[in-house]
Amino acid sequence: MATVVERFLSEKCGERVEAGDVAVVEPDVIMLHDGSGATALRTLRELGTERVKRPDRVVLIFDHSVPPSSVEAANRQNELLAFARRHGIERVHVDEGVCHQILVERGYARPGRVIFGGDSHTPTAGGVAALGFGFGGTDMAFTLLYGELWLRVPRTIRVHVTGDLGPGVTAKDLALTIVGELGAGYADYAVLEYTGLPERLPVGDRMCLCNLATEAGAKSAYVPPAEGPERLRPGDADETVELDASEVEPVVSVPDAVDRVRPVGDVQGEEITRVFVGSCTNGRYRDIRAFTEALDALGGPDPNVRIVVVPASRRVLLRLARDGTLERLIELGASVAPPGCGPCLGEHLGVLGDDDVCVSTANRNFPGRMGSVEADIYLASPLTAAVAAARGELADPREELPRTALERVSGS
Amino acid sequence: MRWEGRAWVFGDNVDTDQIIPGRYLRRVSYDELGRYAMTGADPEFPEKVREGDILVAGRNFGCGSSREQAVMALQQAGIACVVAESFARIFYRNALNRGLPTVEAREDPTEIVEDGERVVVDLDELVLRSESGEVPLREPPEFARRAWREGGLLELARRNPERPPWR
Ligand code: SF4
Repeated sequence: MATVVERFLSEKCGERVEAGDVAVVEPDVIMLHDGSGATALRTLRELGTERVKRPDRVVLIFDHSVPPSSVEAANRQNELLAFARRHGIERVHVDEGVCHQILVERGYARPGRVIFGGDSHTPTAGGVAALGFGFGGTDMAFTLLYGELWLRVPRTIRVHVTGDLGPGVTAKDLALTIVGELGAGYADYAVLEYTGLPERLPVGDRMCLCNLATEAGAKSAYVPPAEGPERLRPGDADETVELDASEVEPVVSVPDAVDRVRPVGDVQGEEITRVFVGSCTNGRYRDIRAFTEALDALGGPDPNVRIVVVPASRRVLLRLARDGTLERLIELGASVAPPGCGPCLGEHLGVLGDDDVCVSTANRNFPGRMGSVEADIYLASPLTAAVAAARGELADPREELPRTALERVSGS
Repeated sequence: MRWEGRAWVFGDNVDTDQIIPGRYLRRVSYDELGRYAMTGADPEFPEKVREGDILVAGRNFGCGSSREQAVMALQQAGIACVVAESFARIFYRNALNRGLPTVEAREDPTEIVEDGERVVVDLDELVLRSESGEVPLREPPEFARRAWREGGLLELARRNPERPPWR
């Protein structure tokens, strides 16, 4: 038997490869966003060539600085659009949402596919049983140019989750707990495969788990579909780590590291000035809806807290608009920004100042990530974010929220 | 291969936001990145650093976002090579592509190096030397040595764009 990644990559390179081998792989999808696309384009120019071997496999998604946050950003995006036209790249998604969400919504990421993306969170595609690998701009330029790239076949670390999540405990708490247990570099050069409970979670939750695998250093991540052909089901693993979901609590990553994970109860009372709900980690419909309902149940935000909500995609925004969630959010006093990465990367739409303390549903809390290097960022679930927004301080959602609000978002 | 220069010491998990903070990425042109190198960790760094200096760090150097500007910023600031206990993989690849040597140490190199002191990174003897001691280095893969010597895989591709540098 082989591991899932060995199976997938063997298929793509037409010969049997094993962990540790260097494989030359032709990915099914080559994904670039406005940031990595610009670097890739610049690299092609440095190489003195502009060939694109497989324009039919390229997907270009503008999400990082949308709508353009500066003259520089606008110019780079216009150049990329012209580049796409010159090369017959037709799959272009402008301002439609975060790249990892669009890959799934538009069906570019699907079971069995291999995706090379110019973004470190490309492993998010593991939520739909595709294997996503993130690369920098030059590697993406190489992939545009040659349609292939070298890669060392990674080993597989399986995280097997038994039991169920308790009320008020979400997939985000599980994902952060796993990163905390493993540590930031534990899965370096490896694929993280989540089995057990994750196989029964909804797609959004599976994407959330795979998204945070990046923060444990993983090269890719995967959740096997509960049903499906044998080749998508779990194969061998080089190492297995077990975790009992019923012991997972609502947690936060405390500043300034994602793997510095503590039960919310331990940092209870920490004052909050800002809340950001969104990103490729937790910007989906269920996330924003859970946030809104919890905030509503608690009587709305504390007057000292500013809230920015950014739907992960236009489709998410539409759903929120159609069922009245958007209206409620606006009534509650949240700023709703257009779909995309929003303030996640500290560039626009709610940059943090020196004294700000932010609760964010995204995936990084490094110094300066969302603006000032002085600002503090706590990573949390949408429920914990709602409680922080309402109370003006961190608190355990299980203590604060009515039972009915907790049940709705627990587990599945 | 061998480098000798002043060393600047950083800890574990130095992420790319510390190497080049995100707010500069789309505000600053590619050639000016060096002026902001490492400012996420040490705002005074660009004033201190000189051509040929060496970065010494702990585990998982270069983790976080895949931004290649992190490598460019270090190169523009004059960093000759980075020695760390381990590197995040995307950073390692970016560095290999752009010809910034990233050398893995077998033990935590920050234990024996003081900020600002002169160190020697000797790839022939596989050792990092400082005033107070030595740390053994891991043997870099042959293709990495070749890429560093030639200025990176990018440089190899530039000379012959028809052929993938790994073929
Ligand atoms: S939402 Fe944040 S983490 Fe996700 S792709 Fe955008 S910038 Fe990266």
